[in-house]
Amino acid sequence: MTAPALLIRDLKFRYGASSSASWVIDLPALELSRGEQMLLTGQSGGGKSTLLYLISGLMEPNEGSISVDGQDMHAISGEKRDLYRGRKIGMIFQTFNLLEGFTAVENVLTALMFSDIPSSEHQKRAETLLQSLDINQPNKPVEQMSVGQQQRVAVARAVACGPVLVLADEPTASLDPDNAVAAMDLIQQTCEIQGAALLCTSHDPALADRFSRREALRTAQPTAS
Amino acid sequence: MTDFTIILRSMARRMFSTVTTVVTVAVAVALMLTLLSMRHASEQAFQRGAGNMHMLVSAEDSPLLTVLNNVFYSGVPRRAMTWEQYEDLAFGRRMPWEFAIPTQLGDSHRGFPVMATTEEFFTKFQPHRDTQWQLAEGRFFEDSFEVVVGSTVARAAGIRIGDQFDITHGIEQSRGWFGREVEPGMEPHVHYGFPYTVVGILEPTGSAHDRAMFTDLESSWIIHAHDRRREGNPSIRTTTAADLIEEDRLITGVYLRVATRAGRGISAAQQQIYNTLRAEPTLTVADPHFEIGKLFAIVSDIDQIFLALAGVVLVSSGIAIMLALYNSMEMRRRQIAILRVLGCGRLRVFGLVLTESALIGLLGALAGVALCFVGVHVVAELMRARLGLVIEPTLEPIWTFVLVMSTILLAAVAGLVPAALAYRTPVVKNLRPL
Repeated sequence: MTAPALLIRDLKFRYGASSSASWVIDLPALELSRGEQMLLTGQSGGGKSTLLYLISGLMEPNEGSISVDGQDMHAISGEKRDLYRGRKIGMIFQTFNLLEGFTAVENVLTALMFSDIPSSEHQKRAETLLQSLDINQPNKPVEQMSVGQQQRVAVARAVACGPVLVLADEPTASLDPDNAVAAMDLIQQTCEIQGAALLCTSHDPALADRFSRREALRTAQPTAS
Repeated sequence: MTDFTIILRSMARRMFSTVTTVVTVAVAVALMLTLLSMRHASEQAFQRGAGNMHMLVSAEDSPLLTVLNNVFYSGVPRRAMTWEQYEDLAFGRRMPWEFAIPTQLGDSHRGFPVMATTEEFFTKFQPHRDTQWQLAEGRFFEDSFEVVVGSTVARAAGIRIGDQFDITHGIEQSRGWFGREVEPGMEPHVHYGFPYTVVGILEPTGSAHDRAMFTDLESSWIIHAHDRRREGNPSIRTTTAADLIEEDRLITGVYLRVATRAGRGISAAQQQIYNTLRAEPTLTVADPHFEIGKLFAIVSDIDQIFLALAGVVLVSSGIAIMLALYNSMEMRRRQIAILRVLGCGRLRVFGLVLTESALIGLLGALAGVALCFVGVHVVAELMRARLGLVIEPTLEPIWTFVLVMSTILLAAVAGLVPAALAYRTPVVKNLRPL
């Protein structure tokens, strides 16, 4: 049986060590199958981004478990977790977080550096991917590209390693409505083609219709102590 | 795409900082290497001037002064020896000389010293061991008032075969006379009426002799005898060898070499003869090689201070690397955070910064070696122009390698603090919009 792309059980997280602090995230269960796409809504500052960082292993939960492709992210640590993240999870940010000073193809190649794909295939894979996303000048520095082009490079980088899960954190927040539609088309279609599950966070109600599965991240309750 | 590409991109984004840091390291390495290469080369250059002589005798106050004045032309000898003393030394003591060449200094032309000597200076004395004098043009002097000029003199003064000139008493005087205003009463004493003809130009020897001119003793005695005679009778127009008296036949030094067996550089009798001559109250005997060694032993203390200073500069350049990388961390936190998201582990990030630091060290060291290569030749050219010393600086491969490796190590150590900062960079905090 194939493991789900994402499996969360009894996840709890709060900032700081104080046990009297409220849970920022209290998520009893969440499962995302391979190739499934889901929109996670919630008010701004409600912990959506924090959840994505917890899933990617960049933050530590207080309780519960998070498995990506059958591997508990927090059962592995250090370099192993970083490599696992690089190979299994693609991340798309509101501000793209591209490597400045690097060209479009170099941004994609950097992601491939940490994958288990043979290095002899990197260049071709990166160029093909960028071309499929209409980036015709792959050797142009990303800071010289338009916002739309940067968005496409960010998507290409996120799916370059063939991840099982793509985490998109408010991907349309900095785009105008037309570009937002185009960006979401791109992200969803690319994930579909690549066979990657997509967990997209947004507080933009306009995105709701694009996803068959939608869940709201509820504001956490004060802890009982 | 490799780690190296990431490092290069990082360095390129901070081009000004990278270049200035590399230049700082390069200057420190060049300074260190220049001092190391010049130290050895300078001593060799000084030793070269003494050539194949074993001893040098003069009437100077000290052996060191004897060597400096008579081999390196650093000043005019203050005391002279008589021809009688020379003949006694050369032929009267049954000492087994291979050569005993008389020399006389005290005159000059355009600031270049004129050494009066015998033909043996060119046939038996070698400016450096196992190397004979070579003529670039013309021939050695054969007659009175013929002069052979060193390569530096020919080039600097534009002298050619067939040129004629009067020589000047002293050295500083002739330097001040040409092309300069001279205060009244300070006019140089030119030996007018006795023009010398250039008959030969020597090939460079790499020694102080390149900035000297050579003529026969009798000519020199004649021009000074003429001065003596005119003091008594200003109407005297000319002086010849026939007018010379014993007081005119003065020399300022004798180049000596004890006979050795074929293929041997030294003789068993050398030390004994040296000790005998040292006991002479009217003579000063010097072993040129020993005196030069002594001089360098004194200089080496200063040398070590310079080396220590160069070491301090090198350490300072390491601190400069650390500061440059440390300051860059602020703008690199986001890049590090992105790399971490893409799968780059903390240790790899640590390694990237450390490698970048070491790479700056390597680039600085290589630039320093190149700079040193240029620098030593500039210094050598200056020493050749100012002191007449031909220095052939060489970069000792082992020293160069050790210094390059030490610089890389130092740079890597300097990168530890920025690398630790990179290692500890909080990812989530630095991914947020800036």
